[in-house]
Amino acid sequence: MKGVILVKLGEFVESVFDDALWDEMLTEANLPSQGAYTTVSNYDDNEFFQLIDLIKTKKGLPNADIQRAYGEWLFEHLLTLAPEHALIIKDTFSFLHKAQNLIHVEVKKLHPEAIIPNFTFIHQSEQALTMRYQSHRGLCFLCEGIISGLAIKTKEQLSISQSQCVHKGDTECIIEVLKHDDK
Amino acid sequence: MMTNEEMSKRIDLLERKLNREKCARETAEKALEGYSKQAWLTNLNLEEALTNQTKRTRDLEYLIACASVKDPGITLEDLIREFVEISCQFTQCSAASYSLPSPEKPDTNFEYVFLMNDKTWRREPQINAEIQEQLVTSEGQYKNKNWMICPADFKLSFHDNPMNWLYRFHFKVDNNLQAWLCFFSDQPEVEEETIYVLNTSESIFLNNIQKTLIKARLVRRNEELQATVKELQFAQNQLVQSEKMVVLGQLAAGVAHEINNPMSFIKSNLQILTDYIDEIETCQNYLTAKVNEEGTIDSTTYSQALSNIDYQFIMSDTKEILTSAAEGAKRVSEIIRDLKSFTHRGSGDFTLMDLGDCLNSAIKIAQSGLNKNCIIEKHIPELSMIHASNGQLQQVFINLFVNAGDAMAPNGGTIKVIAEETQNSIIIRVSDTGCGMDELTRNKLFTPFFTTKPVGQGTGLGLSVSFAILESHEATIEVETELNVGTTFIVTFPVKNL
Ligand code: HEM
Repeated sequence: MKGVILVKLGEFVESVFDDALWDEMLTEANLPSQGAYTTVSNYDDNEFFQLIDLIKTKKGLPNADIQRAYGEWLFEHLLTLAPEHALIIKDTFSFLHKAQNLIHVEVKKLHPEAIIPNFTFIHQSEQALTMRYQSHRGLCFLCEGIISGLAIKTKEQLSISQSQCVHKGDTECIIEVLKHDDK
Repeated sequence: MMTNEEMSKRIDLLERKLNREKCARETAEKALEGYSKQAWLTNLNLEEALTNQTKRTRDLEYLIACASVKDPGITLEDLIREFVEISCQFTQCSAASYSLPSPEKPDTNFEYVFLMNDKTWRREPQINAEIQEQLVTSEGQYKNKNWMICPADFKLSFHDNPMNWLYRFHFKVDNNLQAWLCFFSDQPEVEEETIYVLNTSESIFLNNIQKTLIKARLVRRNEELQATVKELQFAQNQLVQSEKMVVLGQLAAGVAHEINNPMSFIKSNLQILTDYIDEIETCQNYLTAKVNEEGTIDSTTYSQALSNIDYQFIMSDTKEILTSAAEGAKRVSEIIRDLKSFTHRGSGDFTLMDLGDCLNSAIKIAQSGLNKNCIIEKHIPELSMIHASNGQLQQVFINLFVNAGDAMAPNGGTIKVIAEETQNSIIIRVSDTGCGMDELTRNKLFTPFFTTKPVGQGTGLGLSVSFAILESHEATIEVETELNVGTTFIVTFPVKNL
């Protein structure tokens, strides 16, 4: 996993809770990297999962909620990494396409070692979008969070849910995004 | 306020945080170093790729130059020189030479050297010996198809550096002779790629050589053919001329008679004139003596003297005799003029001429040779001028008339010569009232050496020569014949509006 995701997780924990929690987590986890994360390096995916689990036990929050909150917080920070011409955000739906067709493609080019999720757009109307999330990491909740972070940017009222999810025993994750007109 | 314990805990935390930051920085720096090293390597790779690319471009440019022979009519030697020049440049050799043997000089001989530094060809007297020696020492070394690239160590008299490599290449030219190319390099090494490219350029070059050889062979064959055509034309002219002489021979007796006739009456007329002069002189003498004797003479004596010699008659007869002698002389000179124009050798001399005149003089010449009971009837109107050879056409017509006369022998008959002009042609018909021809004769009419005449009388060339002459005038000849009724030859000349 790209270091940026872990560096930002630290910043997230420090800003939502405090740096004592992040320090405590890292000391307890005793990870191979010792938590000395840099954005330019890659780390074992497990470090990410262990740290999320530690927040869960320490704060008594469900794993999914942590990932959603982190994703929502993360989106704005991801933007700073995106290629400049990709930064125009018209609306959520079109930007999701852009993430799949342009942004993640460029990310993969710049960082061949990055593992990027695959989105398949199954259905789309003015109000609703159905997409399949595919990644062996199973970070579908993080994905939900990123989408709501995106919605904050576009100032759209969205509800995001999964009609199917591998964590519920389904074979795939289907994310449903619904637009509400009460802007 | 923080307690001391809290303070020290905080300090510990910050220390750990700082440590992690330090660690992270070191990792980042290491990563950065890795990146820059990678970037440097990438750059190196790119540079190498660029060099390779430039080399490939050079290879291609060289091959294209080999393939594009600028002048399609280039000689073998120039083709070889061009190849040597561009190949010498490509291989970065210092000098190159070639040997191109010919059937006249079949030995391997290097005469000229191409020098890379000033890109010129020079004749070097000692080069042949120097190269021959290298060819022997390099025998059997590393062989790569036709190109042989051999490590060497020798000096050429006209070059300062010692040569490290000898590139040699031979191929067959015409007559299975072996041509050689030799290149000398003072470079420390030969690139493998160069060898591949040379192998490609070699096949292009050999292909060009093949083409040039074939072209040269074609040119040679063409020259031979043209020479043969010239010889044939000469032979044909000879034939036409000798055929003319044959016809002349046939005509000779008649022509002699024709000339003799006026000559003999001119002669007898001259005799009469001499007699007349004598008589007048006698009369003159008589009268002079009379005057001397008597101092004067009377008119009766004078008239008596004149009437004694029939002076009146002498005078009127003399006038007649002179007129007819002049006519006779004119006749003779006409015959001679016609004969001259006929035998004139300038066979192919086409001039603007009047077919009517040509026909008339041909009739005149032929008439004298024809049997007395052959009458020539002619109808020749004013005709357009055409480009033709007067002598040759006279020959054709005389030939037709003589044949017509022969066809009507021994009883004789009428030969009709009728000329007629249409929009774009002049048609001349020569018909006789002779024996006509059967199918067989008719079909063989224009075949050389075919004759119906008794042995010794005809060459059998007449009509075929006529046919060739008419062909060269773009004229056609046709025959209409009926056995025992007669034959008509129809000659048609095109009239080009001049
Ligand atoms: C601003 C534009 C974006 C940038 C620059 C960006 C960049 C990245 C990067 C660098 C990673 C880490 C890859 C790795 O090493 O594992 C990643 C992962 C991910 N991105 Fe994005 N991304 C962008 C937008 C989005 C959006 C709009 C979505 C939501 C639909 C999204 C969903 C994800 C998810 C779910 C992952 C986690 C990896 C996984 O599921 O396997 N990204 N992205």
